[in-house]
Amino acid sequence: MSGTLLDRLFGRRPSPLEPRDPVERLRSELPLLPLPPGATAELTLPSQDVSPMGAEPGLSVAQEAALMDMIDRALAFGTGGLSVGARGAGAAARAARGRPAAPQVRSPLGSDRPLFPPHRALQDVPPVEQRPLPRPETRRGASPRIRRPGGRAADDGDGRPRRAAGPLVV
Amino acid sequence: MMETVGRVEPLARSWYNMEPLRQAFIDLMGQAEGERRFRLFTDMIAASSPRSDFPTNVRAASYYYGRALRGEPIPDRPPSPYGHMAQKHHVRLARDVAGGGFDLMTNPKPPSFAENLRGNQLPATIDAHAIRYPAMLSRDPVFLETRYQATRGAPVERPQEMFRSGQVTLEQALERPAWWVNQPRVANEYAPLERWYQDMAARMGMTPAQFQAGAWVGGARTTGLGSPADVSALEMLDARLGRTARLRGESRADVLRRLIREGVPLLSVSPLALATALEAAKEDRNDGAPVAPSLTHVLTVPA
Repeated sequence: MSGTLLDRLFGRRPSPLEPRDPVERLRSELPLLPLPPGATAELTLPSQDVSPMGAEPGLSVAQEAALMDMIDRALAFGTGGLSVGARGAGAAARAARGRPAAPQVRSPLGSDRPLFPPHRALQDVPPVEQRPLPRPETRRGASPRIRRPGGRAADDGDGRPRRAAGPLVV
Repeated sequence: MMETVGRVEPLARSWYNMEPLRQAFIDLMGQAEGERRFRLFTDMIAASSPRSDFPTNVRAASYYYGRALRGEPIPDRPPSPYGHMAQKHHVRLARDVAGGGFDLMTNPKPPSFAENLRGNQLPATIDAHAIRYPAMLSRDPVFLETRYQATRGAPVERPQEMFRSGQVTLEQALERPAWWVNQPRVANEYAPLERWYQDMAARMGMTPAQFQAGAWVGGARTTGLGSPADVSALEMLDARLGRTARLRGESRADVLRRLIREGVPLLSVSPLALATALEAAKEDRNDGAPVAPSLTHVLTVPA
């Protein structure tokens, strides 16, 4: 059985757009992670050709789980380097004995860490063109509801004071 | 107004900043296609914004985005949970987007909102709260609705008449935000209100969108805002990604990637489907199969 939980939920095959190679898929995820340039992500996966779930082409369930685990851990680390997948000295010893650790599968409920920085980090205006939009204007003049102090309509394009016909809002 | 905005200035300055999301679209799809899809997504947020709180708005937008992305028609009645009491408006506007774009002259608010979300903060989004807040601060009964009905079948109330006849005081009317104006008159109120927001923003050294966002969140209690008033748009989207991720057993990054690439909408898992999937995943992990040899890859975040 291959594919993600979502594939099964929607009863469809994985999209051809999706990188099927786990390493390529990880590479595509990296720009979405809040990591500084140069940080490294280390991913340990079962070899696909011997994976018990690898009967079909594409990611095995175990590989999928390991990848999600890696991403969740990356999010948990926030900024700074991370090393995920390798299980330290114990894992190295087991690998040396030919019995590497299986990917540790986290809760299927996934991570609750934010993907984007909080608002205090986002106070700059984005680097896109700042331009006005054309607006509907009426030749009948100002709204009777919206006027400026002094009795001038807020949209008095001709600059002349208008007879007070309503309240002052601004 | 300026005092109100000043109290929430950090949030006001960041509320519309969706730049990290725009970058995510570009990183995944390339510059041209990423920009095109980000534009489509933000247009769909604007299309599904009337009378909606922002988290619900984003959820519906993800559905309309997916339909348009795949070239599928927008149905008359969106499936649960993407329907809304104002879905007729949402559907009409989403079809406008899919068919070429908003009509700026007949309904200037949605395209202004979309521009603000895309980073162009010069136009001001004059929505219900953007006119209601200064109207309520003015304490002028001319801004009371002449007719108000909370829901279909509910009693019809005539707030302006009730005030004029002495049935309610102004203070009592101010306790009922829904009694106050919720839409500028397009022909002769939208443009002057926008100019006023632009003037006020300039006086505070802010963009018009930032000032409007500040009035929106700062005046939330007064105007009866339904959206959370302490977080930015991007944070609300992020929370919605997290909620979907928890339901599907995916990472937020995975949910976002599937949304951008395939138009898989947010939070659309039925409880039965979720239970089935989780059971399948449990079986997969407990099948007792031998552990496979492993291979370690080291990848570096690009500079």
